[in-house]
Amino acid sequence: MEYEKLTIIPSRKGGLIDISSVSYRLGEISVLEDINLEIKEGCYLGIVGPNGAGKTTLLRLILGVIKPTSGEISICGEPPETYLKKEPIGYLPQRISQSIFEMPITVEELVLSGMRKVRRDNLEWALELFKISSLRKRLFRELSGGQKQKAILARAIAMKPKILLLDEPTTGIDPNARDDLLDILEILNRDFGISILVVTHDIATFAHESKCILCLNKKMVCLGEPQKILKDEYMKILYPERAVIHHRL
Amino acid sequence: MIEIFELNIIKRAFLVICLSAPIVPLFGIFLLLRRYAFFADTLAHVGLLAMALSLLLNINSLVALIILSILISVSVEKLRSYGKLPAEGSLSFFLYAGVALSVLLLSLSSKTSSVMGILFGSLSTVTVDDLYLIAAGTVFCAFFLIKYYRQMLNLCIDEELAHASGINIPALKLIFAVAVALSISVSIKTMGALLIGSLMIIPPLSAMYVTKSLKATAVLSVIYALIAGFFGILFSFYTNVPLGAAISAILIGIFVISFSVGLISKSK
Repeated sequence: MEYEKLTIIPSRKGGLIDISSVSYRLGEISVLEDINLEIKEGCYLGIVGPNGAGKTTLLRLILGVIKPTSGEISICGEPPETYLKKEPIGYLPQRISQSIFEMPITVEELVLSGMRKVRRDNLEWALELFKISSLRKRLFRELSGGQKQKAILARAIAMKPKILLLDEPTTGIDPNARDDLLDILEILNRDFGISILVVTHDIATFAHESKCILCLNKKMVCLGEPQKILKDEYMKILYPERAVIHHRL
Repeated sequence: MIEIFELNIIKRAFLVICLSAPIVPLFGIFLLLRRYAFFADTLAHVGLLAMALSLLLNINSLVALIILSILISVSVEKLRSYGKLPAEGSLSFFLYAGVALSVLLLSLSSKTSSVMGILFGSLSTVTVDDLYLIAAGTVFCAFFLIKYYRQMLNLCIDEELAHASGINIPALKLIFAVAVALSISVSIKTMGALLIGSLMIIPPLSAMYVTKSLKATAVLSVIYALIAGFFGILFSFYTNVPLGAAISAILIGIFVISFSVGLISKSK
């Protein structure tokens, strides 16, 4: 299937992230090939695909942690590193460094660390949104898995960024914590206009939540509204060993 | 008791402790959180080389120390970021190179009597000229801590998260390496090359057992370092124990007490 440069709905506003003919190689190994994507403000995009499909790499490219081997990425018309000098990007990595689990940092200190200037009103907003105000003086390392996830996400959104990148946010948390998280992501997207890109293996959940799904397997396999995309014909391309993916629609 | 405070060497020692104790353990916190405590040891052993060089060439030891430790810390950080060598590999290389070359240079020098002072610190090694350099180094380190505290905290939490917050990671690592080198330089003459790491690492390590926030850890680290410094000077003066060893002995006592208190409060 050949793809032109694809635009992700909704398209009422200007382009936010522009990915043009981006490829990424690690030595001889091709990780991503010829990705063309224009992501508009206010999108809620789920990125799915098998292990090694390049999903996390795509997020790291957008973030500017790594540079494309060829092609260009721009955020609001600027390279990621230039954009980041002006505005932070909310980010939840797949794995966070071990240091945070050893340091004597409180939830409040963690959330404040994500701000360039201390803004108490933003701190209160982020803590209340994730319902962790009562945990503010607790040590981060003493929290449960779900509470830790909320604290890191509260840090990511404390500066009310335009873009939120999440790498497998529902991994390792129970169904209640997952539902809480999904509700908050919906509020952030709907009420605050934060554009959300989620890398996930939890296709069933995010097919229901996101506005658009990108299926990735080194190349772009398909892109569009969840109802149109998550059909067996596409899933067979993505996951040839497992033909049927059941999901809530 | 009062008369010892009228001695110039004691006054200078107290002044150096007052300048360095609030700074050095704060860098230790960042080194511990970045799992980079070994960096302090490496720079301290490079300090030994600087001292040996100054003895042989008859140059100001503190100037040699500042220049050499900045050069080495930048080299270590560059080697680490290129990813060609494991981080600990490049640190080990400079540590052993520092010791080996120091021994070589000291054996060529006739002034080997001051070796104990270089290794373990001394009340009498700090000159008036050194005080000015130490004060300037302290001002730079304090400026770094005030300006880059939040950015350093982000770097310790996670490098990719720090990047997403818009922090220039390579530049920050480089400035941090220079600031750590300076913080070691300001206190190496009193603590000695082999024991400077104890003033940097033991206070935050002890504080972490009993505190419930990062802010409290920082405050308690400074208090521990000041207590150990002041009582260490008195201990050294009355017993003739090298100053670095006296301060380290008190820090060990503080660590044992903090560890016990932390253990008891956890079991309740």
